[in-house]
Amino acid sequence: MNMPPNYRGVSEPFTLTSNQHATMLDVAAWFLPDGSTFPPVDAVDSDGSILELVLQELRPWRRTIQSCLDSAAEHDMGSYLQVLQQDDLEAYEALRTLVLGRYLTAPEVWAALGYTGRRPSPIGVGEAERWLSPDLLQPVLDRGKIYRPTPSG
Amino acid sequence: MTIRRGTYDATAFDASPDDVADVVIIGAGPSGAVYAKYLASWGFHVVCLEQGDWVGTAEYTGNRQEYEVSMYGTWHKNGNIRKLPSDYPVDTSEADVIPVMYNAVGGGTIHYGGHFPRMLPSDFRVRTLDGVADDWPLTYEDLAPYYVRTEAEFAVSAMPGDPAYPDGPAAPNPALPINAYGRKLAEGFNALGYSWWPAPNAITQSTIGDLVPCVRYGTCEAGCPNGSKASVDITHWPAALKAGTTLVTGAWVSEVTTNAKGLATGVVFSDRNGVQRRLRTDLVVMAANGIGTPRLLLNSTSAAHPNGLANSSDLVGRNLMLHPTAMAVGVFDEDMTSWRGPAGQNIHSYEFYETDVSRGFVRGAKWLSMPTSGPLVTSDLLAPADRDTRGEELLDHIKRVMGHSVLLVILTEDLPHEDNRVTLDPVATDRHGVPAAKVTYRRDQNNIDMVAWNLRKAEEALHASGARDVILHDVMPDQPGHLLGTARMGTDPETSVTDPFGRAHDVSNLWIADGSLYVTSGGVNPTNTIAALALRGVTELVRRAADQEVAS
Repeated sequence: MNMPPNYRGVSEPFTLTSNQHATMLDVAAWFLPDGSTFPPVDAVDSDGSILELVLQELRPWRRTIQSCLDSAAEHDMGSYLQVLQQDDLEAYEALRTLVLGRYLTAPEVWAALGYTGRRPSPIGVGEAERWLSPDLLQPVLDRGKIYRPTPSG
Repeated sequence: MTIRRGTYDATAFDASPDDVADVVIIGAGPSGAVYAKYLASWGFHVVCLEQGDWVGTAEYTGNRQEYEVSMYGTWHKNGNIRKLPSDYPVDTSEADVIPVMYNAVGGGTIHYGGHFPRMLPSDFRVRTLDGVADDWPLTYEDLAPYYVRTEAEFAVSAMPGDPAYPDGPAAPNPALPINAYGRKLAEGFNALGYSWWPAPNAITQSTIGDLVPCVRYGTCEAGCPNGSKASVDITHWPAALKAGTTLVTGAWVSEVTTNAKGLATGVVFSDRNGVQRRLRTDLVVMAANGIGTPRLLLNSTSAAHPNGLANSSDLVGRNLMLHPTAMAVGVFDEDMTSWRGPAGQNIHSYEFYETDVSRGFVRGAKWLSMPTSGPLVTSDLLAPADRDTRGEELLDHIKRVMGHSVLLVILTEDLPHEDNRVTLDPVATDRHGVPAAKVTYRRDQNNIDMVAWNLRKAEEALHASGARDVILHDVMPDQPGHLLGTARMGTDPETSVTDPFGRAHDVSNLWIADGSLYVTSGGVNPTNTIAALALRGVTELVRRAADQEVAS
């Protein structure tokens, strides 16, 4: 089947200037200050490849995020984000998604959280029956039909 | 006739002004696809106009590292945020629930979870049984044969014998595994004496047509990257095209035209470059969903139809129902790898579906369980106070919930109200200057009480299942936003827009095929019913075709 061209992906690319990138790391450090259990926020995505993926998926938020990063650079980060959360929740959430999305997409963070990511897991023969045995449905069957019969139209 | 067969972009549409299509369908989602496939099999030359594009399986993010982030951006449920070239603005500033739609070949089936229940017998007799709203002009028994055929075409996986329904034939596939988290919940339901059953899904476990077996990515709502979820771009459109249908993408319909007698004569549409085109037709089928269909009808005014097409009842756009949905998240000690799909519904319960007036409200809700997700989405499942934490504390909360939880979703019936409606936005337009849709939708006290009561019962059920914590989420604005009721069917032209099959009372060569036809919403996911109603409608259309009045 010859399909017509797809226009879904046509939009302006989403990249950050060096200043915006530096501010993004400051935002990330505010949301995810270093601790002892999980990888430090500035240690993940060292080559920037995850950020690139994240930005492409957040293209609908490009202007909001870029504008917020430009503004945030001129303020104390904690104060700025607290005010933003009160005054423009949508923009605050966009920034949160950017920095949490970058961090929580990193494989080393997945490993620390015990997350394997999405892997194909074909359904095995008899698997559906195994989850229902032995007799998990028996009480339901014993009770019988529960629908309300209706007068036919 | 020079209208080329096959699928191509509207910029390449080169039909002669003298050409007359047998049928023009507006919208290539589930109802449009059912109509196209069936009509083409009977030899009609169908031209379907779809403002979106084809979406290739490779475009879905579900098997990629960036999947979760995509759900907040390019695959966001809300078109006002996603802002794809195919999206049009919808003013939701006066709506408690946001309508969810996807403009593409496949329509809402691109974005849906594949949940594929039928409505229940009582859903068609709400006035008779419960004294509220209206009865449908058909019964469960009338629709049952079309459900059977629809479930075959959508390669449904289901277990026969569900005690919530009358008996019927087996689905094409057995039920999907309920996984550890479904079993955990089922044990709690059994302890409380609740009825439940492995839930039906339009997700295949065998190769059927172009569908291939599910591998449980659990990402159905952002499209299936494996091609296992039955979206109609896979299940219906290839056959419709093979039978000679014309499917034009990037075609933004703005108006259905009529003649002095009030019959539909054709449509006006723009391509993506803004070039306006006209196409004549003998018959128009509206399949643009419960928002898009009333929007176009209201925008199609003429001397014969001054209030919009098919709107002598003033009911076009009214009685919008969106299925307000809440959720209880049960957090367990055990690691159940609960992000494993499909997603897809897992088990369902109709224990509290029917009216019990002692609860303080009428009608009820379907409960269904679903898998959770990875770390980013899990951060949004947390209780508000936990979600607002930062650093190690936030990550500890995510780790505690992710993989250890089950989502118990409460999908409620909302009763029709004429003030809940779709109108034309007086200011905003789409990219071609056509008025945008404005949605006004407020939940009534019956629904507010219904949700509160069900959340309390869901919390009890999760504790009975062994949950250590339960996190309650009241009605979620973007879940699921099913689009129902805005051109209701009925027998009386004063109280309905179409006849019991979908033909407009006012315009005999105009049919409505989508969820707009709903009389009451029921409390179940609608795609199975929308497709079955479409199959019933198009069967009747063909039966009446010899006597069909046309303009040309």
